[in-house]
Amino acid sequence: MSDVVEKTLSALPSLLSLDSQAGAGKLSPSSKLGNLIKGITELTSKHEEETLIKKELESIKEQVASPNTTMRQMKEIMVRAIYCEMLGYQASFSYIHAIKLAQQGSVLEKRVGYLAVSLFLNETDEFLLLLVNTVLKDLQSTNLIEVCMALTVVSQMFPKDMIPAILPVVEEKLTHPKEIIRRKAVLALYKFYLIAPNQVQHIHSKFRKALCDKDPGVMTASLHIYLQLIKENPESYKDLTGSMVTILRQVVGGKLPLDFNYHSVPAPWLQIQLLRILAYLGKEDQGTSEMMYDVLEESLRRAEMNHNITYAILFECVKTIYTVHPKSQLLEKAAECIGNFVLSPKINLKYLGLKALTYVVQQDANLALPHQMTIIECLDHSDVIIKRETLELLFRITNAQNVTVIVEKMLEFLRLTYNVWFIQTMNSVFSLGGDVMQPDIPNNFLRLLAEGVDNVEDRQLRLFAVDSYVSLLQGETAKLPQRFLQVISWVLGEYSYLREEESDPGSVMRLLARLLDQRHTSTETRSWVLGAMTKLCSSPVYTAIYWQNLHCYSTERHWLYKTKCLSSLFKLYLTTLIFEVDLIISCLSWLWCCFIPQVDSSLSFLDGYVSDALAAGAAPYKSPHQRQEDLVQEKALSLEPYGLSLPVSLSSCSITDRRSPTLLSMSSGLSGNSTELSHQEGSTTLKLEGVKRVWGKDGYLAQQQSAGETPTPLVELPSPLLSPQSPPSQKPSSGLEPDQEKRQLASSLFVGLGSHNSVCLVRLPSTVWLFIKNCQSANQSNVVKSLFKPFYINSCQSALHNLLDSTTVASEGGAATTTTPQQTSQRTLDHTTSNGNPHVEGTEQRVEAGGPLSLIRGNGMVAVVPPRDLPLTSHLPAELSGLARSEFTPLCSDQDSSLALSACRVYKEDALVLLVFISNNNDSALHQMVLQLTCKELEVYIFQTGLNNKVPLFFSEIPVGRSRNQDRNTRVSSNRDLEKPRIFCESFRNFCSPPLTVSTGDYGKMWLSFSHDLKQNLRLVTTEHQEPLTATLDALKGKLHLHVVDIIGSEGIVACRLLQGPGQGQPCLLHCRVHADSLAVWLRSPVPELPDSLLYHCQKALTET
Amino acid sequence: MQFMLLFSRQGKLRLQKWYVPLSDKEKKKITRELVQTVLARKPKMCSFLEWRDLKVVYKRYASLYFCCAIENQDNELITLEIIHRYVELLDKYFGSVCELDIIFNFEKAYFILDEFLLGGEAQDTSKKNVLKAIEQADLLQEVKYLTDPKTGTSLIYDNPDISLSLTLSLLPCSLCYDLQNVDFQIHLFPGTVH
Repeated sequence: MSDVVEKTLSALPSLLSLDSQAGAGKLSPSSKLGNLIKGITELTSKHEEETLIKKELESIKEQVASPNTTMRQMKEIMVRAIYCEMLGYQASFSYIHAIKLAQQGSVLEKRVGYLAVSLFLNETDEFLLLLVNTVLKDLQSTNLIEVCMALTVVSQMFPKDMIPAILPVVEEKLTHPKEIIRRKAVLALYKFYLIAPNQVQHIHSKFRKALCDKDPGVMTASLHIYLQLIKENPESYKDLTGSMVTILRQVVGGKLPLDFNYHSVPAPWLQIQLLRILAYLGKEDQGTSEMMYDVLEESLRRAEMNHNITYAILFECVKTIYTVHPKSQLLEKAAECIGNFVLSPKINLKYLGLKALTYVVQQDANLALPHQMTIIECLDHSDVIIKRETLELLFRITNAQNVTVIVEKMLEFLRLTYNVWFIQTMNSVFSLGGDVMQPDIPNNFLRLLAEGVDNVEDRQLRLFAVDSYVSLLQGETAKLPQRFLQVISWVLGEYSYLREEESDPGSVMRLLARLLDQRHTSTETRSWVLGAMTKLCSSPVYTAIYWQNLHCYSTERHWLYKTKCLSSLFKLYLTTLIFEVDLIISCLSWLWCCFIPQVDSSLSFLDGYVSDALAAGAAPYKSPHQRQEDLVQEKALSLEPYGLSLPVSLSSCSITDRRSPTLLSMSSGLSGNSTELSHQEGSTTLKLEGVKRVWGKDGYLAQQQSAGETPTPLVELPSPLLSPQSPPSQKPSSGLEPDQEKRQLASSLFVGLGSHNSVCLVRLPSTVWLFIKNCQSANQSNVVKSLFKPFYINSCQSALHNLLDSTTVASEGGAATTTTPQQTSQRTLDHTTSNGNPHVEGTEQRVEAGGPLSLIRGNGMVAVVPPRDLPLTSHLPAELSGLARSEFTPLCSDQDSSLALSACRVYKEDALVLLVFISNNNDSALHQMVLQLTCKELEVYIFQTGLNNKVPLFFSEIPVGRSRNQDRNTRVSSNRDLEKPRIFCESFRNFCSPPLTVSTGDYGKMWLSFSHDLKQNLRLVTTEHQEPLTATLDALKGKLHLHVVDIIGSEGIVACRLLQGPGQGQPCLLHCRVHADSLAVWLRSPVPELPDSLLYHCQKALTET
Repeated sequence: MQFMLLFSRQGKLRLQKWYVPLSDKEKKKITRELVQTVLARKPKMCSFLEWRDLKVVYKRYASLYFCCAIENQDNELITLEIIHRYVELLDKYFGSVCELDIIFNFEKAYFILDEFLLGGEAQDTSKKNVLKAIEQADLLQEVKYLTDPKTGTSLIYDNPDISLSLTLSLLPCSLCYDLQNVDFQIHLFPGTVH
């Protein structure tokens, strides 16, 4: 009696709570679990939590083992055990008890028992076998809830081999009167099918029955199985297409009970399932696809845009439409739908839009075109996932024309996100590439590691590196290349401190010490290792180990070690001065003991080395006197604070200076002071000077450079002067600029997609890139006030073409026409169709040594005196006026010569600029004009321009007060590359003017680093008043725009650079020597074909003169 | 679906359900990595992650992150809605659910999840049905505590739908139970307690 009352009262709170909150289980802080949870929340450290949970687990263990524990208590204990497991603590002792609870408990305890089992155990766990009988028993129970629980656990995990034991019972449940049981049974069978398809083969007919079940829930469940079956073998289920279509039509038509609605959308899960099935069925099957067109269209139509769930259906629908046999009308609608995704401000939808695009562009790359700008925006999205999906999309639309830009984008992305990947890749590069690798690779790698602000990502990158190296060193190091070991030592020396949490701080030191001990470690590597150890010795633990090693190696008979020891000691002195004065004093005394006596004039300690060196073909031994001097210098040097000469100090310099290790010549000090060793030095030391920077702070430099160039603004800074008169449509120029960048990028990315289309933003392969500068004349006020005579210049393409490249367009006819329709009162300068090449003037400051230069092929342009002797020179922009340029060429003019076009080429350092001048010789000012530049062959970049947004920009640049009848000049500068990068021979002006400006010193370094060379004799040009050599080189310079670096006596050096093509920007060096009557030319370049083709052009050029 | 994880903003795991067999070590590794990745993401970022060869769909509700891993060809948005539906279920069950509800009654949260998702697939997407199933079982639980195991419990087990009133009549209090709506009210008459 009292027992009953007590139980009643204890249950009251939970019952009462049901009043207010339907079915809610209330917090039970008074229970043991509650106490445990509360206890944990009050803890402050992980350690405390560990202790607490350990204690808890102990008590649980005790309780479960006790025979007095009732099942009800067991249930409570089990809940706590689950909780502990969730926190990550093993409670394996309770597994067996969980099974016992499921076996023996009453329904509710069983429920917890089953839950614990499903959480604790794995499909492969042997414990599960103990559960089979329990499950079997429960399946046969008359209690619905027990059956449900058994089916639930079965569909979550069941040992594969035991499926036959329960299969008949589960099958039986397919005909159970309760739909919940039928549904669970179907899902259990689905699970069986997944883990052991063979076992359920014989009951496929029963699946069909489930598909026809009167309860939609059971039918939905059966679709899981069918999706799987159809995916594996669509052919044998084609007959189901009709049924699936009917079901979908019913669902879409809202024929299901309202229960199945989700946010007033009828059974979305079911719809999606059906759509996926239809996709598999209709794939590459026109007949089947035709059956589903109607219902697909209806799905598309019914899914109104209001909720995520409809987007989910739409997305699936679009996917299906693009998977099944295409029907153009549907495809159109689907494409429209994708637009809704892509343009959605919701980022999730945008992502799916990109994903859908990625899917559909495989069929039709043009579908990406309408979304160019969105795609470009997404490429710079702050969310990596969006970026990645965009890249995936770009990957799908990659073609021969945009592949380079896309690959650059991908690399950029890779470097930003995949630290681990990067380190691992570099590791394998080092391990495999080994010592044959170009020396600049390890250096650039180190620089990349060292550079950058000290933010989380950088630190992570370094930590990854350190960790991976430590594990590498822990393994077999004998096979690692020396150069890699050097990199490892440097990184470990610099960044081992990042492994703070490492329990054993001495481990890195010991690993390094092991390296020192190893026989295969080369002398130079040892010095790197010692350097690293020196850096590490700031901690006492390190110092002890370090000291030990220093001791060992100080007795080594190699002068390099001596030096190293000295400098190390100095560092040691600095770092430990305060704490370890005693140690230092003993160090010093020790050092003097071991070092000084050995600096004997006979240098006997070098004998061994010298004989080795001599054997290896080193330079002959020098006099003892000379040696002595060297050593004295050496000593002095070593006491300098971390001169640039030693690898050990390298890092500290580079870090503080923010300079990279590459910039320091590590070997200069050593080799300078020990001439007899220079031979060896030369071969082992990394050659660092003059090496091209490949890796920079932001990644691979070459890539970055071009990526950086790509989005350069089209136009220069806006001038406010004209803004009052701008038409309302004018966008603020500042906002325009980033837009333009993106357009440009778009042009390079979407190149080659679709057909030529003049309204599309940007397009077309590589090449010419025009930008309009507009200059305004003095009587600008007229512009505002007067109504202008309408004026159109319709086209002058071919003329421009000719200017650009007469050979390419020679075949294209087309006269330049200039008309002046009188009806229009407004003029627009509308299109500038140009060939889009990402190089614009804006990039000048970035492209340091000059990017690929533009080329004008063909010399069909005839210099003609401008009709009115225009003083066009005065209109040259200031920044271009000093540069070499061609003569002004009139292109066309209208009948009364009131408007004329002329152009000239200006050779800039990094670009060829085409200036197009539009001169208005009329009295009235031009308000707007249409300038259209098209170029069929070269592919055209169009950007919209006009008076409204471009003209004002350059007003400030033009000197005021010029010839009166020129109201306005529009300059069109163009910079272009060759469209076809293939052959060097064709385009001799690939080597551009002024090409590669290098100093004699740089020349020497470059010369040594280039691998491909060619020697040939050329004809000398003879003139009266010049040396033959000078004359020849001048001729080459004039013809090919080569850069004559220096002429010394009978030798001359010349440099140039490839304008475009695969080896874009690559230099080629020429060394010329007058030899008898001919010029012996020696060409060198990193690009194999370059010397060859350059030579050809040289020959040609010289023959012509 | 491959697995579902619930964790707090502090990275504490609140619920985990694995639909694919994995070793404990692997599970822990995945959990750690995923929690780190998801927590590092900013609120405005999209709810999908490509992670290993899976797709992770996550959503944050108050201080709790719900995180599902699905296969690549699965529909992300519908997974997001699965999460949402689960939250709705929890909400309905606990009555404006908060993290504490889930911490203290995590086994209930598991039961609801099992009733909603079976073997990684949505088995019953009807809110009403799921809660009905749960509450029937729950009710048993409460009633059982009130009843002596020797009296009348078997009736409930055999057929929960019809036997409740019988069982309830044995109780020292009267429960007015509406089988249709599952919502029920309890009136206590202390005087009738024997």
